[in-house]
Amino acid sequence: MGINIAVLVKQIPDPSVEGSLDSSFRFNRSGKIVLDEADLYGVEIALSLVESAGEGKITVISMVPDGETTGVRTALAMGADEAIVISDSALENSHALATAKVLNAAIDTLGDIDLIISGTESSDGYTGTIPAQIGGLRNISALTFATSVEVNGDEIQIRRQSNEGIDTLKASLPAVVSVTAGVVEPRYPNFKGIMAAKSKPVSVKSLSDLGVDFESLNIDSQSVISIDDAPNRQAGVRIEDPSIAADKIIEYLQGTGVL
Amino acid sequence: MEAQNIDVIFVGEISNGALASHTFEIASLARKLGSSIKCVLSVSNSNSTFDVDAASVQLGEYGVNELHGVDCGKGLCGYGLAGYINRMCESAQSNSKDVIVVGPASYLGRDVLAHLSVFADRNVLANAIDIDLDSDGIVTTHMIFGGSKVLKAKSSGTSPQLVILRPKSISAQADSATQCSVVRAQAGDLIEAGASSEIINSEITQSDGPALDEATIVISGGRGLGSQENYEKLIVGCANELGAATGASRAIVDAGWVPYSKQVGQTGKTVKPQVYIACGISGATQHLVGMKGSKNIIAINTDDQAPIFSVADLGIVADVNVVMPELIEKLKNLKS
Ligand SMILES: Cc1cc2nc3c(=O)[nH]c(=O)nc-3n(C[C@H](O)[C@H](O)[C@H](O)COP(=O)(O)OP(=O)(O)OC[C@H]3O[C@@H](n4cnc5c(N)ncnc54)[C@H](O)[C@@H]3O)c2cc1C
Ligand SMILES: Nc1ncnc2c1ncn2[C@@H]1O[C@H](COP(=O)(O)O)[C@@H](O)[C@H]1O
Repeated sequence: MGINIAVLVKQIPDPSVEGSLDSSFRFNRSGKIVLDEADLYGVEIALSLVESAGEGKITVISMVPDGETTGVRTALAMGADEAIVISDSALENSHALATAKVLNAAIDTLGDIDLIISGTESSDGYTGTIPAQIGGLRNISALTFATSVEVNGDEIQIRRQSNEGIDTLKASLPAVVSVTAGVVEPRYPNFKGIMAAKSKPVSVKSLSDLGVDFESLNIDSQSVISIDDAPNRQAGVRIEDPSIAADKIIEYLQGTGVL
Repeated sequence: MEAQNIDVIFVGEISNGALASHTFEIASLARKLGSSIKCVLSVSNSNSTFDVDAASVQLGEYGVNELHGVDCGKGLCGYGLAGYINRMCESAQSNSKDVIVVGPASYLGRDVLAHLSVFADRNVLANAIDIDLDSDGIVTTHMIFGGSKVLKAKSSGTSPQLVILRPKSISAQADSATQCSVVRAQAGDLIEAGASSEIINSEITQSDGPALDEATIVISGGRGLGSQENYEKLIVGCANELGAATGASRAIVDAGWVPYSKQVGQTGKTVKPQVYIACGISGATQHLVGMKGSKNIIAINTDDQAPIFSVADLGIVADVNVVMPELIEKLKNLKS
């Protein structure tokens, strides 16, 4: 039967292009859309867990306002089996809890799921709350900030960053785990993977397909009221001659009074 | 909402055996928002020897009225603390009080507020740097796009209002001393009612020298150093001479040169030292948000186009391998 994993992946505007907001304060999504780099790690961990379990299934789940599937294709090309994309223009101003509720409704359609994997925080929204919110909604353990993940039978063990070092934790499955970037090196999709991804199932669902009542998401309770330029730091003195650099630094430190 | 009718409940945190500095920052902000201020502290796991009574005296000086020391058992405390705070919210609301709950942007704070948002069925506003009251709710301030824009969001409707605040956004200021009472509690039934995890081992990473988020001088290294050996030689070496704390960009944390606890930036620590020295760091937006608030910034980078120079008061366009050894030598001579 193997291990049944859902990976939550966000599809975001290419972060190498400077971001912008439209007149309604929404992220501009008109340019290139990519799979959030932070979520590549979740996909990689899922793939390696299936490899060590011998068999299993990986479904990637992504919520977008605009039917975008480019990012989930990347995950499929890496080796995930299926994708669910929840797309509804009503979700344009979704906040973290509403997103968690919608993603959770999509997870519900997968039947018995052993593990849900997410990133610790997305590159554009970075609320960092969605994994624990999903744990709460499903009433299962949410193990956040994992640096490594191991599954043995119906138990999961993770190493996790703490304020003082590293904690090792265990919990029973099903569970949610959020993984930090850099825990593993995500594989690049190869040609075979990219070709295979073209025929893998991607189902695009609306809120009503999932049976989610828009009112229950309470999206209108929050709104952006203004965006302004932050007070800018002025660039100061430049030194281009390395032979005087050390002296200039010492002079500067003395000037600030720390030396 | 009116401050005199508001209870502020916030998540305090213990770091290296003492109350974390963000606990005092949030207490200071809370005084502006409400009339009754309650701090909830997890006293389980490695914190079992923590002196709650002494902490309550300290918090009283910052205007906190109640300190709740909650034992959450063996696992992650987020769920148990959230359940406990949810009960506090319900009892305040049954007394017709409005409630604002604030947690720090830390591992614990994020987890607690995330779980609480599910219990209370209210969204949580993350990464705020300030909170203000508004006629029918609150307005939170956030930095976006790597700190180049300031966004204000309004949250209205029923209590509780839930906010995650970035450390080092508010300056901690003591108040006239308040009598702070201590409440001790077990979250046992709350944890069993939900999911539970268990911490089976804790490794403490020893770090010498001043704490990164408290130090007067922070010297950080990035990929431009070229190797872990250079980090030891140039960054740690210079920090020893300056009495500085050592930090890092995520690139070298990911590369395994230094532990995660050294990471400065969006997903790492926010630092605001008197002087921040960035060596071989490009200045990606995610790094800048963690150090832009430093009083003085020195950057050393070979690329004169590196974004770090746009925030540097002193920009050195040069090779760290040339500048740093000389700097360390000169600092040594200065001492003797
Ligand atoms: C969701 C998310 C969260 C993130 N959070 C963080 C975070 O918290 N903190 C963080 O730092 N990053 C974070 N990042 C990563 C960030 O985007 C950058 O990738 C990272 O900061 C780059 O690190 P760096 O400056 O060391 O490396 P690089 O960008 O590779 O820069 C190296 C620099 O060194 C210079 N250099 C090279 N050789 C020399 C030399 N001999 N002498 C002097 N200079 C030299 C180069 O000119 C270059 O500017 C995050 C990214 C994402 C997607
Ligand atoms: N729209 C989304 N679709 C799918 N997964 C998401 C979405 N938003 C957030 N996530 C997941 O939640 C994690 C944390 O995101 P955030 O709470 O936005 O910082 C991400 O790394 C994803 O795994």
